[in-house]
Amino acid sequence: MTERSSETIVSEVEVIEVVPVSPMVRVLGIVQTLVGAVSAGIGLLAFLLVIRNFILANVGFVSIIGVVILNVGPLVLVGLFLVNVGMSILSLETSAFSWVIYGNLLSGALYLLMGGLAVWLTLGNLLALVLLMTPAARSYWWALFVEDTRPRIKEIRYSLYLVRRSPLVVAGIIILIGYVLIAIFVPYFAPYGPEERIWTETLQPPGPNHIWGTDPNGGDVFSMVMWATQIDLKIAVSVVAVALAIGTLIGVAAGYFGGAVDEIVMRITDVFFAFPGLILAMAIVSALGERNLDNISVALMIVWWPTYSRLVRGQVLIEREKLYVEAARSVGASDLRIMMTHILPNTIQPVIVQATLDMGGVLLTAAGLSFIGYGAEAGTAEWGLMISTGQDHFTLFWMIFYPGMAMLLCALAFNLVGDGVRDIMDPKLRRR
Amino acid sequence: MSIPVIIGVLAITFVLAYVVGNPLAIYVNERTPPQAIDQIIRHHGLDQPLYVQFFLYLRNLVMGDWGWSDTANSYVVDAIRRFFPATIELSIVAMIIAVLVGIPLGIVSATRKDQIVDHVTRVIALAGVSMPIFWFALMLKYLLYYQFFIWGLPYLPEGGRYSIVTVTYNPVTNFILIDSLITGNLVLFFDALVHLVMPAACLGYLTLAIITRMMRSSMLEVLKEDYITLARSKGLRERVVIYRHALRNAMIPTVTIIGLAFGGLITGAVLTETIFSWPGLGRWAVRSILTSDIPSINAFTLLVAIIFVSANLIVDLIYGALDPRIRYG
Amino acid sequence: MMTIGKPLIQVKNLKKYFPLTGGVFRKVLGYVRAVDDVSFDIIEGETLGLVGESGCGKTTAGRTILRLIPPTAGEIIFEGRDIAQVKRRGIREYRRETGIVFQDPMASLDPRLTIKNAVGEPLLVNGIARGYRLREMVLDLLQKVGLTEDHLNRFPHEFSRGQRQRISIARALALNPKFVVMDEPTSSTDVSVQAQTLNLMKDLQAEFELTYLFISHNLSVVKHMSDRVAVMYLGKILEMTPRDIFEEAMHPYSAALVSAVPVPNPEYRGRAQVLAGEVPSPINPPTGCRFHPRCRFAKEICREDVPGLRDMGEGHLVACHFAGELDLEYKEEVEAAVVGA
Repeated sequence: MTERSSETIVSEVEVIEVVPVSPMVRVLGIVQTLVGAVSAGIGLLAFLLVIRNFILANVGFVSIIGVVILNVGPLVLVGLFLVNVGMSILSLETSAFSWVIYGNLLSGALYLLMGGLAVWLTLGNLLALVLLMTPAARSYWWALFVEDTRPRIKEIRYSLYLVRRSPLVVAGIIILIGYVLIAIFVPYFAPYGPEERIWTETLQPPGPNHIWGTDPNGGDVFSMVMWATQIDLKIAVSVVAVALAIGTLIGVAAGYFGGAVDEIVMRITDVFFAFPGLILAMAIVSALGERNLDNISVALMIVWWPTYSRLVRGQVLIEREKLYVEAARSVGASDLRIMMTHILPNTIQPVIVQATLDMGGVLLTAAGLSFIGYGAEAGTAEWGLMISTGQDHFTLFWMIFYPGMAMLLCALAFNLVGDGVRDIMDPKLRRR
Repeated sequence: MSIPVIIGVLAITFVLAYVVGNPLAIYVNERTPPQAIDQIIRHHGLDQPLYVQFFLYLRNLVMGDWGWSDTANSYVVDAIRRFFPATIELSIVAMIIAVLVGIPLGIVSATRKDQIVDHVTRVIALAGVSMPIFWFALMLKYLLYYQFFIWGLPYLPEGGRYSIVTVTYNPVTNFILIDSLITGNLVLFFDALVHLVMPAACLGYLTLAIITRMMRSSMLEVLKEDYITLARSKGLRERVVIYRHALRNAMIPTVTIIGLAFGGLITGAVLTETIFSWPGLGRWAVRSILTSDIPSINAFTLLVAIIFVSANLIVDLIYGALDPRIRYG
Repeated sequence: MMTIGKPLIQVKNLKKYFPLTGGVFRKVLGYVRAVDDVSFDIIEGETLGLVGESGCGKTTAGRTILRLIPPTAGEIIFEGRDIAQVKRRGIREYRRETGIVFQDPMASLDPRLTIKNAVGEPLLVNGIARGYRLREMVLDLLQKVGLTEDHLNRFPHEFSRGQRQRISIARALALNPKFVVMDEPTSSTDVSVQAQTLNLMKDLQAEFELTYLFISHNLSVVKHMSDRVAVMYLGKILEMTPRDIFEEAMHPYSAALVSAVPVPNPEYRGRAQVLAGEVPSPINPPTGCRFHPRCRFAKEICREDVPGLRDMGEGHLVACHFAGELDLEYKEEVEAAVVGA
């Protein structure tokens, strides 16, 4: 019976013309699949090594989680994603071609950041991109890609127009760009290095030699504040990015599967919320052993993911009941497709807003940890630590004032952008 | 949700104390004779399987035996009796400041949307969310204590709950404000009040910012509703429309935020208390963590969880009073 | 009017109960009997109209027949298979042969998908076309519902209600289905657009040899569209007729519904019947005939026995113990009484 009805369908809908597949496209698909498989393989191997070390050397459990979160997880995920893309190219799905572009750019950046073996994978990504641009491969996707992108660009332009109209968001963006520029160019303009100390000039008030004064060890406050931009921004961005990824995955799973999974995840997040974040982070740092910036990052990731899984789960539960999901189901779309193309894109906006706002929060919490002695090693140029060094001499305001202002301004910028973007994305204010 | 949360927190504190930490360390020091250690292990059930130890741990908690705190140099229960009132006093005063200032600010900001007042309020609120609390505390101290002192103005005290040197205080409940009123010691009362100003203002600012934002957005939301338009078209004065009709409905989300923010206050107290040498839970917790004093850390964690859960419970109850659609049967 | 023909879908004793839960342990407190023991056939090529007040279970019936929600009990026979029993694969196959147009076209279109992707989704997920071929087929469909190539790459919010409804129709027809459920397709559009959309549906039905289940609360629209009309009340079908329901309603409830439709004739002195009371709750429906608490003719038997559908000739089915015996035509004295009430 089953066979009969599917036959009738094929006979009724006109049969697809068989497009001759050019060898270039085959090569592209194979390259893509290989790169993906290799990175997933490396990720899995690293995962196994970590587990082996855990069993043999009895490394602490929490530090294992840290390693997995920081290094192995993304590699496995990106790898599996790329394998998927490669497979879809081999079956000539048009959307796969645009995924190649986005996916390869993103994973290339990620690989470069992670360093080590993963840098080689960037070359594989580049190769795939080059192959994609050859005329034989281009004929499969270019025109459609352009057509699909145009309405999206129109939407983005409209969003940019809304951004331009909101002076607070523009101010926030300009400040953030300023911070990023400082972080990049600090080696070229800072008068002193991040850990340079001038032992003869301690506790100097702001003056011609040291425009923002010096600290009790003879560190130049201006240079240290500038150098700290690198460290603090990196913590804020990496913590939020990882927490966001983990939280989204778990939240989607909870919202999607519902039932027992949902119940367990939500109870776990409840417990996390009942803990004071700062204390929990301190406890995790203690458990991790050493007090340093990496451990702070891991601790904050563990503290922060429940925020996102809650948010995402709530959004998924709302979207799941929408009529267009039922409409997609009524034409036979699979659950996975509904999740990926309908539910996720429609839930991600508030999550991104929250992430922007949280960058400021993470920044402050990380600095708070450093302040009470749970963060950066002594001597590091880090805002919280600088204030901590200065608090014994709080009557000499410059040691505290400048790093604090830097922090305030940075957190304020994140909040301005997040707040403004929330208003801009508010569907009630948009024209739809 | 409250019971699973408490159980979860209990389980985590247990893991911290018995798996990550070494429970033996509570009873043993370098002077303990080696042969006594075995006896101690057996006596406290530390040779039992973990789940038995967990029940022993729970039993001890219920019996009021929360262990010994090295940091406070007393039993944990006594330490809590000493530190808890200080923190609660500080948090409640901070919360009162935040609510009394935040809600009117939010209302004004919403009713004068996009005017100067609104812009100023929004910047104040945003700055509050972006302010590193420990920095703010130090700057306040610099200005109101040090600079005022230099300028010869009446300056605020640097830290502590009262002037130990000039005022005597015999604790009854450990809430200084209450105690001083009970004993009729007005000098102590005002002294304590003056000591509260800076830490409470500092702690309250973040909460104030959160409350103001929430109040503003929920007020704006409510003012768009049809029943507000109807109230206006009936010819009611704007004051009546806002305070009689809109406020009650706009309060509902604000109350939630207040409840949640109360948990946040305790976390904020960790940093504030450290800077103002406030002898409360937060400072105790920081010192215990720095010295790995696990019974104290666990006690603090449990207390915060209990406060968090009860704040949520209270919010639910207030909800019922504010929103006639919600009734608990 | 068509009276004979091969049934495309046979619905037998279909039930859909929604459990009502409460308390800490999610105990089932009762059921909402949205569809309660309903049986009917849908003949190939016809339009079966399903009318009833809002909340009577007609939408649930439509969705259950399409297996968008699983039925509690009963059979849905389509091409010899019981759709109520099939598993995942079977459901997907069934969905290729069916389509649905929802009441609210805005909500049924994903705001982030362009029209090309929205209409092309059924073709893509069923592996029928992709790439340039997909674009071609979507364009073809859009042209059939009166849209052009310009509309291909726009978002739903850029269209009017009527246009969105046509987009939904195009999507429902993308897989060339045999059977389409129209769930109040025109109730959210204004009258001028409504007529246009209805005529488009009729044209498409002729062109693609479609079978419709047309759900609406608007009797005039149903009459315009349907070959047969079924009247639903509290999860039950009370009357089903191939005849003109306006002329020959035989169930007291149908008669009341018909009388409530305004007649465009100023001379007409109507038999405006006002039904007393509220619709009872589907959680706790009345015993016996579902309509008896509000029926003017209710007797003892109506309170106890559930009347089955009886054939009153030419396939005119009525679920009333006294079908054909009642004075539904409203003679003078009754009219007076109603006006008094």
